[in-house]
Amino acid sequence: MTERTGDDAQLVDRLRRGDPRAFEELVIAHQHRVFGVALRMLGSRAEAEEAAQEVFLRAHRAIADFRGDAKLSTWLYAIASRLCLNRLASSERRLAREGEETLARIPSSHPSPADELERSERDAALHRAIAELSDERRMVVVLRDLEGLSYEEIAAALDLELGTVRSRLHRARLDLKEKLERFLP
Amino acid sequence: MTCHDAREQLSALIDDALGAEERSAVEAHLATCAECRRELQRLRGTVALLRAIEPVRAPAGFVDRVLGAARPVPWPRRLFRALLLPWPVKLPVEAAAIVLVAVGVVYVFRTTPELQQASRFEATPPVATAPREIAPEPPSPDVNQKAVGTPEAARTQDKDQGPDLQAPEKRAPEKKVAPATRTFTEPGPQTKEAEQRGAKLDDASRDVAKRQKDVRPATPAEPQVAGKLEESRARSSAAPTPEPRADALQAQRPAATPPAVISLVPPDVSGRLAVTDPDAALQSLARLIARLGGVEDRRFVGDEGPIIELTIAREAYPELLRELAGIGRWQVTREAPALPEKVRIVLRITG
Repeated sequence: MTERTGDDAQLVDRLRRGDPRAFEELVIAHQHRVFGVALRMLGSRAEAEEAAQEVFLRAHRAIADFRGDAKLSTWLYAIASRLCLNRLASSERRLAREGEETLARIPSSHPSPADELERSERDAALHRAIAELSDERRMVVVLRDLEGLSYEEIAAALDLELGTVRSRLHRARLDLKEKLERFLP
Repeated sequence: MTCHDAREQLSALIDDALGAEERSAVEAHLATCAECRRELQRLRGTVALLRAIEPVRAPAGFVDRVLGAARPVPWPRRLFRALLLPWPVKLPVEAAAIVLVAVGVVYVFRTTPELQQASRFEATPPVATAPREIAPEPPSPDVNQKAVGTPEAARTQDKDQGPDLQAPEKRAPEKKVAPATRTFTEPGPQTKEAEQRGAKLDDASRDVAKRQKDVRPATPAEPQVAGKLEESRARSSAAPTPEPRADALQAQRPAATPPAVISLVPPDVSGRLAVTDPDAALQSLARLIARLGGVEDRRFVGDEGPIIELTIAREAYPELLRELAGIGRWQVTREAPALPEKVRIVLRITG
């Protein structure tokens, strides 16, 4: 994504050497992406923070497993998506989930009373539509349209075939289009 | 290319993820199909909506919290955490520790006779001294009458307790006002209360009697106190009215009190007296106790036969044993290692 592979390689080297400053740089550079995926997938800020923290801790422990052929960000997305999907799949979590939960209630990142009041019907419908997607489809849409990953990066992160990514993304968008029909030109 | 095939590629077309061939095929179809163009437009609109969503930012302090959590923990603390922090481990370990300590305490107590003796004798000496002070004083007859006249007192106290309590009335005046609550070590609390009652018998006796009734279950020393007071009454009343004790005992017999109270403090000596005629044995026993200067504190009927609780001076105890052998077959079931000056004896008469 934004960082170049050369920077990644250097950072990974330092991480592998146990440079504490390198880990801090990694967290600073990727915190918003990882947190963003977790929040879009899990819905609650508290749970998202917990999950995002866990993502970085796992990365810290498993930096030796990181293969230099992918971007660090893709690797982190891979950890994050797996962790989120696992959490969502747990039976306890399934029971707790209800229709109105998750993304429909996510406040904007700079919440203010005015923002809350002015949030348009369209935005509400959009967030609700995303929240109502199946976990797999939501994950692909989040990575592609919210986080801006390429099809190849998504395939790598989710360990899917390129064709699967393409069709899953398309299905997800069709679902969304159907729900957002009245806001479309 | 059919509309269906073309529409399947629309997302990829938007994302510029089609190969050159696929792309030109889809575009060729779109050029001829207004419906698919419209579909493409709406899909583009959807994607635009998604991409317009404001990016999420991690909460403030997130980096510090992650770094704090990732900081290496020294191995002793890691070990400690691994052993004790998870609740499923911590709870049973702590519970086991508590149980172990409890078992240890009980074991030490049970295997150390000194401890048991200490806990038992702590309560007894004070109550044993109180009645001796008051024993020589005869009861004042008018007070006696009053006390008998208060039905509440008679009801709430034990049967004989009402009259007993006036005995200390003329006791040494240095005794102070009765305390509201009693402790085991306090000397002769009951006699203090009795003194007060002597002064204000009508109402006070009623209140104190009630209070004593309330306090009773919490003070194991109580039965002994009552017993000693009875002793004092018996002695003092024996002097002016030398009626035979045996008759008095017979008269009391139907009004036997429940044994529950007695068992709270173990007697110094207990045993069985096997006899052929329990009634005759009871009479000779009553005479014997009177002759030896002892007091029959209580009498009631147990499962096997009559049970008598008595108090006798230590010097008279060997004589009692000799005489008991004449009445029936005396078998000691329990005898304290060191007998106090006033020996409390529980005697079960069996047929």
